[in-house]
Amino acid sequence: MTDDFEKTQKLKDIREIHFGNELQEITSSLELLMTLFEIQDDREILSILKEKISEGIAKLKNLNLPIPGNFEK
Amino acid sequence: MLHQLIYASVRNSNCSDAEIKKILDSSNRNNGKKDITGVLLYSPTKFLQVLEGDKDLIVALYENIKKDDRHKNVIMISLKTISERHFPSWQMGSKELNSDNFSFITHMSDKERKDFESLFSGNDVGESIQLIRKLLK
Repeated sequence: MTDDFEKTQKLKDIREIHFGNELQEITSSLELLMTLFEIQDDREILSILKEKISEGIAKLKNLNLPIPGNFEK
Repeated sequence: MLHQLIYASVRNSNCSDAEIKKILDSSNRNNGKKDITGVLLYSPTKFLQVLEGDKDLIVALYENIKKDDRHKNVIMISLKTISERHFPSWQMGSKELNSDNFSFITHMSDKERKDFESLFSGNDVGESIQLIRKLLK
């Protein structure tokens, strides 16, 4: 059960996540968010987590990293 | 009332192992005075810390910790009341994440070391330890 203070703080912390532009920073931040997602039961927190995780995945895509096995030019 | 706060964060690239030693030194110096105990776990890229003590004091400490530029993206994982401390015997211990061996850089007696290790390896553990295990996977 998440109390009001804990919930407010979690929402604030998640909203303040800044992924940066480096692969390591983005993946580490995503790992934290996904762990929190796994153990969370509050719908509002889950919703903001989903938004942030999507934002992180978009950041990863924008890095345009080479995909192993992808030979397209 | 006794509370436990767990947070995780992303370790900044400027945070060397020497810096972690400094964090532990200052934790030992300052937290003991406030009767705050806990454990700091770290990997090359992440931190996880458990703080136990009076709610107002650990929340105030958390707010200060968030401002530290040796890490970023600090997220509160849980804040709850506890009936007894999981980490009562030392002000701040440490374990390097993703390592088979516990690597302590604070002073611990043999008994404290064994207590710490059994906390993470036993079957009969509380919810917070299960949570920490999950985060350490």
